[in-house]
Amino acid sequence: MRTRRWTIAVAGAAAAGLALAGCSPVADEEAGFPENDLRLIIQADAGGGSDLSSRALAAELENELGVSVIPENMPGASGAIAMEYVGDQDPDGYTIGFAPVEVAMLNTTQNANVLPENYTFIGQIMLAPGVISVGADSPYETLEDLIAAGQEGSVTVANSGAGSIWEAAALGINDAAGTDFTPVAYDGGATAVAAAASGEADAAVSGGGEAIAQGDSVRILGVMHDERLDSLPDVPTFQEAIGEDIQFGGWGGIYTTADVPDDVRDILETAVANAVESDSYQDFQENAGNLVIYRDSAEFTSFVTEQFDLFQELLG
Amino acid sequence: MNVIVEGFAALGSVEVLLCLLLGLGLGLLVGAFPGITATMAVALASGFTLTLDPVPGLCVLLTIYVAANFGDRIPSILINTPGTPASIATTLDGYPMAKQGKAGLALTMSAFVTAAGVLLSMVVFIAAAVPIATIARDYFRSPELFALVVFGLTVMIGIASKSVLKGLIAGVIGLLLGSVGLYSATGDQRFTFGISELAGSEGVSFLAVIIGLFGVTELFDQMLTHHQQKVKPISALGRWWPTKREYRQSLKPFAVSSGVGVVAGLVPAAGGDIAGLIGWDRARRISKNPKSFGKGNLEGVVAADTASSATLGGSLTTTMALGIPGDSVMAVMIGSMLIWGLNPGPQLFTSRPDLVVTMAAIMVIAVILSLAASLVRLRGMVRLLDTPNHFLWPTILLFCMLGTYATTNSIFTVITMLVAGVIGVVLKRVGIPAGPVVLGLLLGPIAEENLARTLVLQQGRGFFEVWSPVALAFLALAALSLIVPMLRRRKGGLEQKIADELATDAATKAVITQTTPLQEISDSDTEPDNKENTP
Amino acid sequence: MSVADTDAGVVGQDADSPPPNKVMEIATAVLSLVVMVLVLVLSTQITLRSEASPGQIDARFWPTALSIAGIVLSVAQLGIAIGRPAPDREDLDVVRRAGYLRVASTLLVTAVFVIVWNIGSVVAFGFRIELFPYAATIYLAALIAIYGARSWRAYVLFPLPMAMLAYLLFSVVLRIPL
Repeated sequence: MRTRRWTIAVAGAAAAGLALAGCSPVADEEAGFPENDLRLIIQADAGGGSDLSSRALAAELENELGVSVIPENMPGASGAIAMEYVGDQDPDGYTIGFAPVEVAMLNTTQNANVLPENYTFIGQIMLAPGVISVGADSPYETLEDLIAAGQEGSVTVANSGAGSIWEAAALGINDAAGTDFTPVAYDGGATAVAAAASGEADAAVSGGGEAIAQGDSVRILGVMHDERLDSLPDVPTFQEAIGEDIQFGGWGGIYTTADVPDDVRDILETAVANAVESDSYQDFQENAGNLVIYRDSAEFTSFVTEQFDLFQELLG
Repeated sequence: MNVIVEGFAALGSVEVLLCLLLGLGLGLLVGAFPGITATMAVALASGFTLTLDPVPGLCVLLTIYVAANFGDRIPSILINTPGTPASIATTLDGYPMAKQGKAGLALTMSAFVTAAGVLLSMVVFIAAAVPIATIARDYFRSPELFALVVFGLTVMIGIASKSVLKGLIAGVIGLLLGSVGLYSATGDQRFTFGISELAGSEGVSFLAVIIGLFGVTELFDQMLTHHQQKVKPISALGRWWPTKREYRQSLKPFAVSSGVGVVAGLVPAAGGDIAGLIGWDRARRISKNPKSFGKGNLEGVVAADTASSATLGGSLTTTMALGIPGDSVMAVMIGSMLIWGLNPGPQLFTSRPDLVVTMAAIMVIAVILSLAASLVRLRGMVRLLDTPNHFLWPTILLFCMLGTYATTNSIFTVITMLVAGVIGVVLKRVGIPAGPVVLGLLLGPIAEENLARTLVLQQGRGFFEVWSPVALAFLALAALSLIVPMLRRRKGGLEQKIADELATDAATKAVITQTTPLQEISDSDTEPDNKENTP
Repeated sequence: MSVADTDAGVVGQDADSPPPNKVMEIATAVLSLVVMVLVLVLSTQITLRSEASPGQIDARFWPTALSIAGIVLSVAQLGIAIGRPAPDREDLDVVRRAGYLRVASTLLVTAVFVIVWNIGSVVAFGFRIELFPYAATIYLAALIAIYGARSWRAYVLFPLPMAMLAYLLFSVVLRIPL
């Protein structure tokens, strides 16, 4: 008898809980933004670089906006699924997302419906400048050596995957310096650098952090940024070493659906700008070997469009 | 010496104890739920652990890693659904054992060898992580990986216990499934038919396919064949503790599989799933009784679980010593460590040797705790299967659906899983085994990717500059694995026992059973369990 | 797919396993051959962004090679299926007639559940209501009814807490948007 009363009580509680579960008030159009929780769509699996950057920012955004910012992973098709999803949402600003550099590439590389005009870009939040590295016992001592070798004959250059920014970077060097670098796709940045370290590939293009993590087993020859990196004070930029201004980087920013109301965009823009300034966010990016480069909504929008055109030319 | 003291001293606090217990609970839980993998749990927990200090944070993450590796064996054995991909090979013999009423024995033995496998592999990490990992990196490059994976594909013959030909067809189906989606070397789309969910580099979701082909297929098959009079043997657990003889029998598969596991763990592209299958196949080939593998042989469970668990130490070694993720859980770990300002890589061992000792200590403690918790709680877990079918089936189905959904947050993955389940039933009824399909899906993309890369590197170099002796040795082994059983079959006579495992049709099989009645006896004598049931 | 139908004929006999079935073996081999040929055709039609240079493999190479291997294997299997006696099926249980009904209705109910789940949430009475917990409860109850339980307790006392547990674990604890 007692067990039956107990089970009925449990079921009753469950029914009551169920009735309450999953009910939330609908946003009131008149009230100020944001009224409800925001969703932050992440285009990659939990635990990767994009995910961690987004989560670090989301924690700060919550303080700025006063509502929860719930990170949601939507991996697949190199991020195209998440980006097409964000493009299809109601333009109310409640669904924002992390836009990595692929947002400017996927239309060219995969024919995905990912075009700059589908989105409102709110602000750039980070940059992982590219570096080129060779194995510790490689014959190439300097960037000039490597470029010279590339101008004479084929040089294999490892990257984190076909269609990745680092493959585009290798092609970009070919374009600017007249080299014959053959991009070889690996599974992830660390693996690509390891391929250079083991001598399997002649060199690797990767984010700075990934190359630094390999310690003494690789030699970093050049930085694809407009200035030297604090973490690599002895490594020249491409401009310094070979006189070609070659800049490639894995940048990332926050975006949402196109045509959100201006006031909503302004609120989000301010929140992102402040979140980027926070110590915890800055520390995180520094630990990960990335730079905190902020661009506001207008600058970021024109930057993405610029990059979009560049990749169309390079990879199309 | 000082470093070791410091490393252990870092663990002496209440906070650490709480973190260990938290990780233990989470790990065992997610391991036991099909679909929710250790990777997912570690990723979710990393959101919370980044607010902690590194040592307590590592306690949570590493304990989840270890405990999930114990928890995932349970659904493999009890409901034929791998809790995580690492326990795919456990289903091969674990579930048949459960159907014969030996679930208790399988679970206990599985917990023991899992613990032993992890501990053994930690020796690599403790002894010489950096040099060993560097050797693994320098000697396992793209050509060697391709050769290793080709060797791994020969396991198909072993899994296809009844008909080699059907097994190979199943393998081709799996390999073709693996080619769906983005071709990694050039970024071309294959067989996506404009469906954006298929367009990623993973294409068809691996987790959805294994849950569908193993778990849901078994569920549908039970629904098809269930009738009132049939007894339900699984809840009849049999005895729990292995006999001395069984321990002795397990030594050989344990030794072989732990070697397979440690090596596979050190190779970045190979994880517990691949290791489990190769270990199982190696043990089968050296067993006195290869025919009974896949039909509920305890040695099969021992081999599968030892090999997949012995990858943990190797993965940790590759990750910490080179900064290359040894498996998907370790990829997430690297992210968390970066947040703490710890860069995994060779310099971690020189700059923070105390932390390395701490990590090794956490792993060992996590193994001991998980083993204890598994042994204590197994009986309770098994009792859940006493639930009547009309409650059990809907619950398993719902949680399989939720688990697959959780991998991508997309209904498409759930539909993939259900379709795989339906196709799986059809394949099962017509005698095409599911194991090779999964093996092909798992290994196909790795094989193709590494072959493509090798060919790019081959340009302008001599053949032997690229294809090292290691690679050629693996290719030779693969060829031997194919040819030797065939030759033995030709020879006939004394070798008929081996021929039996390759019997391609009933005709051959009938002849053999007639000529070697001894085989039948040696099959049945493995299990004198009628009077040894522990109360 | 009709191959499995022939299993039903055994219901009522003593045998627990279906008998060897030559028609099914042949049908399986033919189906596998058809699928492999189809894949071969599709493989040659994969659009390439760039042709592979000599000595390299492009996106078509792997599926083409595999489907040719598949065709060879299927033909061999067809030969065996026609030329030799069908293999025993001792590892399988006989399909019961009620089983087909059970699986078909399970699939139907599951399809409806997946559709409702996919809708996500509806707005009513000024609230956004998540459909999942309700749909899951009804889904479980429906399956339990299909599998033969006949009591209000089975329809309510089991599904309610179970759906609640699923919702709590996945949506609230794991924060997965159901």
